[in-house]
Amino acid sequence: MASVLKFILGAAWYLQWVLLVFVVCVLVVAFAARDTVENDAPVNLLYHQEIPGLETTHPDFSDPVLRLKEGVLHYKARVEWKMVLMAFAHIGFQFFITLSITYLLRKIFRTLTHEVPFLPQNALRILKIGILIMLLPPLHFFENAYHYWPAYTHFTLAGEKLGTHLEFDFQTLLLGLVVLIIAEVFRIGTQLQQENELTV
Amino acid sequence: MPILVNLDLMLVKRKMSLTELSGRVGVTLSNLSILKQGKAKAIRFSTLEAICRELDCQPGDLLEFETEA
Repeated sequence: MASVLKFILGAAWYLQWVLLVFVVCVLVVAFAARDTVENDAPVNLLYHQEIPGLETTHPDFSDPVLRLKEGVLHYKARVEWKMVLMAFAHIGFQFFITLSITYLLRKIFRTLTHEVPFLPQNALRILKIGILIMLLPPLHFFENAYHYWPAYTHFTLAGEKLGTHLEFDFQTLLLGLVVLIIAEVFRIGTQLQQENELTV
Repeated sequence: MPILVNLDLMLVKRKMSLTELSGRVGVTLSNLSILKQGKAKAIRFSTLEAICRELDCQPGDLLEFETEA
């Protein structure tokens, strides 16, 4: 099990760096080579839009109407420095969080292999992992809000504004909270271990 | 810490070294050293019993409560 974990952690660490370099290169090429970029934004329509021309071949069904209330807004946008900055900032924050979590996990794992897991440093590392996990939902929320803002403000359909999907990932937030609780349990366990070591 | 450990005084009285006491009571030298230096957080009754038996003393000869000024 330990060797499997070691392999997974090592692979995750190096793969993320490779992916980061790859994504940065792709972004640089994409922004440098083009004047416009294509964007997709999931949108909600305020009212159902009825799509004509729908037919049915079943004898028991009649008068079919396709009503759509959700879709994907696809458009091209001119490349601007704000867009480039946001893209790199998003990539930077995302990889900072995931690389930091992986780095802390590798540090914890090294203490496990030396069979001294209950250290104050490990309790602090688990606490940091919990905080980093809890940063992901607001990061994604604000990134989506920035990404979908143009769809809400600059496009209309038959005179009506488009709505957008903005969901907050409470499940990941709860997972981060679980990790924070585990960090507290670990901290108390560390104290108990230290007291046990100083019990003659 | 308000509890003082007078193990070093008892060792002098009984003319015994810490190493010899460690071998007799079955506690490691490092743990006895921790006890002697007053860094121990707790002591087991079994350890206290063994030390008192080997040093022929009472627990009160080893442990002293000092009120904080």
